[in-house]
Amino acid sequence: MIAPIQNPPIDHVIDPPLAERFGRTWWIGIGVALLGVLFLLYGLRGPAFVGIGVWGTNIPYVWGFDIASYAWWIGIANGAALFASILVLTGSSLHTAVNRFANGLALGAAICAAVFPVFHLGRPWLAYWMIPYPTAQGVWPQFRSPLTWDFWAILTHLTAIALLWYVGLIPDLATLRDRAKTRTRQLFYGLAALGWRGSARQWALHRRAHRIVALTLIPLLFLAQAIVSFEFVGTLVPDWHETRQPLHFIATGIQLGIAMVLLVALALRRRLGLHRHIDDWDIDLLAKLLLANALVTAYAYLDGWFMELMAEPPIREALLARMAGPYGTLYWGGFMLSVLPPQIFWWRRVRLHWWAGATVAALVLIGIYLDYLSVVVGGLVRTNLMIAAPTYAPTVAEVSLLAGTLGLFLLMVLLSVRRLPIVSLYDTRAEPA
Amino acid sequence: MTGLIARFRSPAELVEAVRRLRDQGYRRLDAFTPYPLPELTELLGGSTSRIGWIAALSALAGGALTYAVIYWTAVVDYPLNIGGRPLHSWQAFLPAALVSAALWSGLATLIGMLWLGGLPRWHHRLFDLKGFDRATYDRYFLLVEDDPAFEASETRRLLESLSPEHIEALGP
Repeated sequence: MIAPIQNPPIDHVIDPPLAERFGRTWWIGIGVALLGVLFLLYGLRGPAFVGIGVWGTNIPYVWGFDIASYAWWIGIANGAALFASILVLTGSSLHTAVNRFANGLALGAAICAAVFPVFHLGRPWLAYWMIPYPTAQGVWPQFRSPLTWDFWAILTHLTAIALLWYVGLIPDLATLRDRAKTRTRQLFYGLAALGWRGSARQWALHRRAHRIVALTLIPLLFLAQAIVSFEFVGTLVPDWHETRQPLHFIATGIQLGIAMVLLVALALRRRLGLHRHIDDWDIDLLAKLLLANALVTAYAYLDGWFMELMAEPPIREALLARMAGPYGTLYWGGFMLSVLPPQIFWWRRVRLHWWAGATVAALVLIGIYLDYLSVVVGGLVRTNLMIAAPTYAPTVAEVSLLAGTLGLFLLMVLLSVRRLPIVSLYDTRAEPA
Repeated sequence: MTGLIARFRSPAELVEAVRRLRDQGYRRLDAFTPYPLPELTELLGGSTSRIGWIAALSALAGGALTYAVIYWTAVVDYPLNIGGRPLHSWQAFLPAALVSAALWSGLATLIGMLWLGGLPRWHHRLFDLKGFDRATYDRYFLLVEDDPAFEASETRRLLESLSPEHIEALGP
C-alpha cells in the first residue's frame, strides 16, 4: 500500500525566502528601517565623537534614555528568549508556530540592547577594557561591580540566544539549500547548513542538543534579567536599592518579550499569509499569556506599594517622589499601559481580533518603556544634594539613538523574514497531525 | 562506503523497511529524513548521552575557570578594599561565573552535536546522488552499507519487496 503523495505542508514557509520578489511592502519596510539606521548613525555620532555631554543626562540624572532603552531592549530579548526556550522544552504546537521567530526577535533585541551600554561608556572604543586580559598597567576589571557582571551577561546572552536560534535553524537551512535554484543561494544556505544530511544519528543528536541549549538558557535568562536590575540595586539610591527590584524587572521583561512576540506574530501572519502555521489557537494562547503576565506585573507593582510605602522614610519618600513628583506621569503611565490594556483579553473575541491584539501589544511595549524611564529618571529626582534639582529631558541625540535601534531591529526582522524560514520546517512536519 | 540506497515516498514505508532489515540482521543501516522520526531515532539514532556530559562538564569547566580568574584578579593580583568587605567576596563573584558556565555549556553543546554527528562537512558522497536533495524535503532514504549480512543481489531483492520508489547501488 502506497500512501498518496502530497506536497509537504511547508511550501508556504519555504517559498518566501526563495522567492525572486517579495513585494513592495517589504521594500517600503526596508526603506523605513534604513531611515531608522540613519538615525542610529546620527545617534552614535554624538557619544562617539563629541562625548555623552550631547545627552540630557547630568547630575543628578546620571542615567537617562540610554539605560531605560537598554533595559527595555534586553527585557524584550530575555522575555522572548525565555518564551522560545520554554517552548523548545515543552514541545507544544505553539512551539512550532512561534518558537523560531521568537528566538530571532530575542537575538535582534539583544543586539539593539548591546549598543547602549557600550556607548554609555563615553569612550566606546575602550569597551574591551571590560575583558579581563593582562594589561601593561596591571589593572583588572572590578568583579564586585554589577556593571562587570552585565558585560558577561550581555556577552553570554547574545551568544546563547544566537546558539539556540542557529541550532534550531541548521536542518531548515539544509532544506533551503536543497530547494534553492540559484548557485549563490545554494552556496549561502549550503555553507550555513554545515553539511547537514538529516541522518537518524544527526537528528537524534540535534534534538538532544537543541533541548540542552534551551535548558541552559532558562536559568541564564533569569540571571541576566536580574543582573539588569542589580545595576540599580547595587547603588545606594533609595527605591533602587531594594530586594524586590529583580522581581519587578523579571516580570516586566517577560511581559515585554511576550508583547513583542504577539505583535510580530500578528504582523507576519497577516503579511505572509501564515494562518495555517500560526493559527487562531496560537494567537489565543499568546494573548492569554500576555494577560496572565499583566497580572504578574500588577502584583509586582502592588508589592512595591506595600513594601516601600511601609518602609522607612527615605524609601517611602523615594517611591512617593516617583509617583507624585515631576515624573509621576511616567510612573502611572507605565502602570496603566502595562497592566490595564491586556485586561481586554479576558474576552475571547478580542484575543482573536488582529488589530486589538496589535494595539494592546504596542501599548504594553510603550507602557513598560515608561516604567523603566520612571525607574531611571524618577528614581533620581530626589538628589539629596544642595542643588536646585533641574529636570531631565532627552535630547535629539538620545531620541535618535532609540529610534535608530528600532530601525535596526526592524531591518533585522525584515531581512530574516526575507531569507530564512520563519516557522520551523521540521517541527511543522514532525508535529502529529 | 559501498551498499544500496533506497528512496521511499512515505515515512511509514521507511520505518517498516528499517524494521525488516534490522530483523534480517543488517546492522550498518542509516536513514535520511526531512524531519525527525521518533521510531528511527530509537532504532538508529544511537546514544546521545555523551552530549549531556559534554554540556555538563563544559559548564563546570567554564564556571570554575571564570571563578578562578575572578579570584586571582580580585584577591591575589589586584586586591582592593571596597568598603571593608572581604577580598574573597564570593557572592559578588558568582554572577559572572554562572553566566560563563552557561556560555561554555551552550558553545560546547553545539560543537559536540556537530562533532558527534560528523559535521561540519563541505561535501558528502551522498550529495552526488541524483535525487538526494529531496532527503530534506519530501523523500525518505535508507542506506544499507556493506556488512556481514549484506549480499548485493539478495539485499536488493529484499529492498524491492518493500516497495521503494527507487534503488541505487553505491560503488566503492
